[in-house]
Amino acid sequence: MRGTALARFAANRAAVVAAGVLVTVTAAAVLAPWLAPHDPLAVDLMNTLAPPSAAHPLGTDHLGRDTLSRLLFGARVSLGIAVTSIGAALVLGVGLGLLAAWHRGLVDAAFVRVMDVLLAFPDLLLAIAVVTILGRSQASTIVAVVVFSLPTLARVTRAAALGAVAHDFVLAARAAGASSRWILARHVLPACLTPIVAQATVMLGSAILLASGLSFLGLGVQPPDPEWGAMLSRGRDMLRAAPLGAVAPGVAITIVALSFSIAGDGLRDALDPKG
Amino acid sequence: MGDDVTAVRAGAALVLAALAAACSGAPPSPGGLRDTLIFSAPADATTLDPHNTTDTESDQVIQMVFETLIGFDDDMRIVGRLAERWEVADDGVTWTFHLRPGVTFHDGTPFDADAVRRNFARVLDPDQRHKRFQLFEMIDRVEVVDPETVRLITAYPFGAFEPTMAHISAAIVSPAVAERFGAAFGTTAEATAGTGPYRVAAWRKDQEITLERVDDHWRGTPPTRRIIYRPIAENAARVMALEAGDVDVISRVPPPDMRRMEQAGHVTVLRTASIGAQQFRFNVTKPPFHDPRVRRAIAHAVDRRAIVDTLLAGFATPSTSALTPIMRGYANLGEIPYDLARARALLREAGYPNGFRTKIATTPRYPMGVELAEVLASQLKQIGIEAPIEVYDWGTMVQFWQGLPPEKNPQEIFIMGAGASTADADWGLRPIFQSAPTNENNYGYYSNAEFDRVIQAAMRETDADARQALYRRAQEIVYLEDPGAIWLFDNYYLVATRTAVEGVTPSALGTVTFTRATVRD
Amino acid sequence: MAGAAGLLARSLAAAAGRTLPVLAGISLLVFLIVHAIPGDPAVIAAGLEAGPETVERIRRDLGLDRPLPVQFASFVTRALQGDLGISIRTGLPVAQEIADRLPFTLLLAAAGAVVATVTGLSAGLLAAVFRNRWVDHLVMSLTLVAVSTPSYWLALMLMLTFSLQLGLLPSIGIGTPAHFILPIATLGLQSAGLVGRMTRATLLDVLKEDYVRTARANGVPAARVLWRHALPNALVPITAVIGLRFGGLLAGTVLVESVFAIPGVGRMMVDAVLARDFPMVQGGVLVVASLYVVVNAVTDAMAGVLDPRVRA
Repeated sequence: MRGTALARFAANRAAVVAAGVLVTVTAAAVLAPWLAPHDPLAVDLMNTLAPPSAAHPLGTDHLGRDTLSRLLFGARVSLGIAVTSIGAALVLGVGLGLLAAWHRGLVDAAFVRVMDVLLAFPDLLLAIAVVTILGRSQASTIVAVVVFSLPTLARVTRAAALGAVAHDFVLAARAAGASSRWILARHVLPACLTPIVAQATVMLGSAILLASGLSFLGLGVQPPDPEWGAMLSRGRDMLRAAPLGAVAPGVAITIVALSFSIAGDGLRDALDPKG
Repeated sequence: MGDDVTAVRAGAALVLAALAAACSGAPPSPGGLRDTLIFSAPADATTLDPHNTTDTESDQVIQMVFETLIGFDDDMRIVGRLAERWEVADDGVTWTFHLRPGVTFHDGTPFDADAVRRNFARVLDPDQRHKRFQLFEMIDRVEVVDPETVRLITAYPFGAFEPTMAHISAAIVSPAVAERFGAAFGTTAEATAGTGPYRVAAWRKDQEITLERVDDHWRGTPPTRRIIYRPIAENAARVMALEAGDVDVISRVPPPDMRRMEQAGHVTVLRTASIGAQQFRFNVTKPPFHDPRVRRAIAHAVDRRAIVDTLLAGFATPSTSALTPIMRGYANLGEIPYDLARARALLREAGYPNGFRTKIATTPRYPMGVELAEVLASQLKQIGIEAPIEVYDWGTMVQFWQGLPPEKNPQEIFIMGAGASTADADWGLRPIFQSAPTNENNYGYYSNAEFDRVIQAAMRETDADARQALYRRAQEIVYLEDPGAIWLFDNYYLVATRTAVEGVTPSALGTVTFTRATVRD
Repeated sequence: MAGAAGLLARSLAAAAGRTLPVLAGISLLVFLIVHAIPGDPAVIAAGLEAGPETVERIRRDLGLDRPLPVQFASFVTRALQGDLGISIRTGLPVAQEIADRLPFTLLLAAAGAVVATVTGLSAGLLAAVFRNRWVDHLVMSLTLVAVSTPSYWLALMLMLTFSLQLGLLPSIGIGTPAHFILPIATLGLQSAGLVGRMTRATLLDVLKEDYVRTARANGVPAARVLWRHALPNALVPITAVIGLRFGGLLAGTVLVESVFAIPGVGRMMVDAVLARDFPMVQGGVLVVASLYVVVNAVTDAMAGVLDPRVRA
């Protein structure tokens, strides 16, 4: 089963390319201290908004900081925010979704209503409110992304788990008196992993986009952290005077978010037993 | 650059136009003028009630629709507007204004002495507490002498009375419309009426304000029939809209774009020295900032020239005092030299040879607010001061600034844009640095006994020379000896227009006047 | 089709039953949120140069000196009568402010949904037909590029290209229909990827269903199978996605409105949060959330009508 899923994924050329991009970007993020030609925080007022050169392959920003170095270190911040927040949303969302599907009745009804409320609440506004309440920081951005991602992941989990709970083997295990926790962990969760994993992968891209949207509104991570959204958002004022400062992080965000989407879809196709 | 700095220091609001080749072309043919000019600022006006606003975007429209008794001309000299003449009696408190006859408000109400009386009754009404209440609290009473003469009596001789009366919030609104709409005055086109050369024809919120010219206005009929204010929040979009020809004039242009457009020459770039200055202030109750030597050390650690030349692309001048050169009472005390050795020596003297740790609070509400904090942090690092940046949105930031006792205020170094809208030393220094129990305007709890004495004496001083000497002393204290802030630079007010536009005059107060503006086809 | 109308009515009634508790939840949530945000609206409204007495006057005028439960009760009872209060920032009734701006946001969201549906359906169809071939990969990647780009960045790039460099379209504002092309394109393209992905996935699922296989085995041409059998069935989940996306579109207008200077409710709400204009935030969220809920109720009902399994 595992071998065939891998084979199916490998056959999907777009997904393979996307996965390759993600591995490369992750490697770049991890190796940033060795790869970056300059200190990403080193301000050099004598050399601001410089065009590309041998010393600064992507030029410098409005404070004379090396754009390439900031892009590399920014991968750490942006991916870090995405992975942490989606990871947290996954744990919470899967937990809530499973609980709702397992208990049904009042618990489920309450769950559905609360998720409906969160989904109906304009999402960017909710994120803005969260960051404004908690104050600007990387942690606030993460909380905002969690709040934004939670309803979707929880609903996907619930929908998948509702199907799994009704399966014969689960009914059998229940009848045999197995503990709820054991059944959920051993039977239900594995059965609904596919849509959850695929959704979470796609949402990693959305997380980066949401973080950048918050930066656009002046509510992103604290400077001088080189988060991609913050770089793009700062660079856009100098879009015409020094295009690379905005284009570089803009392209980086698009490529990574796109890769998460394609890889997520590929994962769904590969893992889906129906496929 | 040197030349215009000199000119600015001479006290003139010098408007430099970097004109494109296109601009030196054929003069406009009489029939070749458009009847509409479109102006874009970052935000819509919040209200058009001059007595109840404190934001520039509102003032921008208000100064076209309303007039004051006396006002500032392009060079910031005080001239008559709705008053033809005015004089102060020997007692120093009785001001008589002789009003311009034959003026009517846009709603047809005649302008006369009683209208002036009802206006100040409105501003000073303790129950309404308009936002500009505080500015006029020295006015004791208003007396109507005859329909064309009105007398304002202040509670004490007030040296800054003329600039205060020239402030746009001293504008005279139609008393009939104001009384009809009450608190809603100025919230819609219908609820707005002044005596200005343009009246408000329509206001669709966040979309556009349409002004129509008033024919046969006492100042003459403006050449352009319609002025449209169209807010565009996004800087890059505002610049593109100008370059694409979709709007005629924009304000608040990011400096790098300003320089790019100036070099390309396809738009006209206007700059005027303004009342605005950018600074970071100290919370002087937080050690080690209680020690003036620490504050002076920091002042020497900042390379203002580099900041102005790079971050602001040259569109500002390093500060030379606690006031900007075009303000009344300004004294040129020179730039504070960028001198790291001196800064380190001062820190050593104060007992911090290895620096210390603090934090810098800023908000993106100020242009380049975040970038300036980043530069400041990197420069402080050179003398061993570690200062992480905390960025707040405006709403959170002002929370630290309104009436908090020092023990409840966590801020240490914080950004502040200064700009006394009366263009006078009194409003530029007194509310900001005079000792006060809380920080309702003196956000850094600055307190210096000599400064307090000097500023109080200056406020009541009506002799011009004596007043100037007192304000010079006040600036020496707060700028050099016991610094209340890290003064960085004096802003230019930046405006860009299509080359087809002429006669646009940006004012030092941060507003643009269009009464002489034309747009060629 | 008479049965369908009855079904629609029943679905709508059921939806209303679900809607009311959601709206009640939204009211409470938005009230709690605005009061958790640091920053005193009276202080911000007064501005830096105003004195403390003015701040006190504004606070009293706004009723912010009353206990929170009293404020909430007053918000709810007035909202039920259609009164959303007075905006702190502009001094006008919130209901009127929203009514002035809502048409723009609705236009953007609805037209964006149409663009997303047309583009997404075509892309998904193409991708499903050429499953796992290069056409599939290319089409799906292209439609996903827009979703993967920050909307304000996409908006600025489109403006730079079509307004400034090509001079084809107006840059900002709302003067003519042409003014709406770029903002609608930005929003539509942003959602097209999701619709395309759902279309493709659903079509592939449907193509495996027995009745489709039967039709194909019986010699019905592939195109006809797709058009007559697969697509109508695929419409059910696609409609649901568009309904869900409508919320995203309504929220997505925030950044697009900001760049293209369109006076809609999205930007209004963000400005209101930043200015601590509580009545405006509360009113805006309530209205936008209600719209979202209604649109979803309608799409749910439509999905019920469209679903052949339900009909049969």
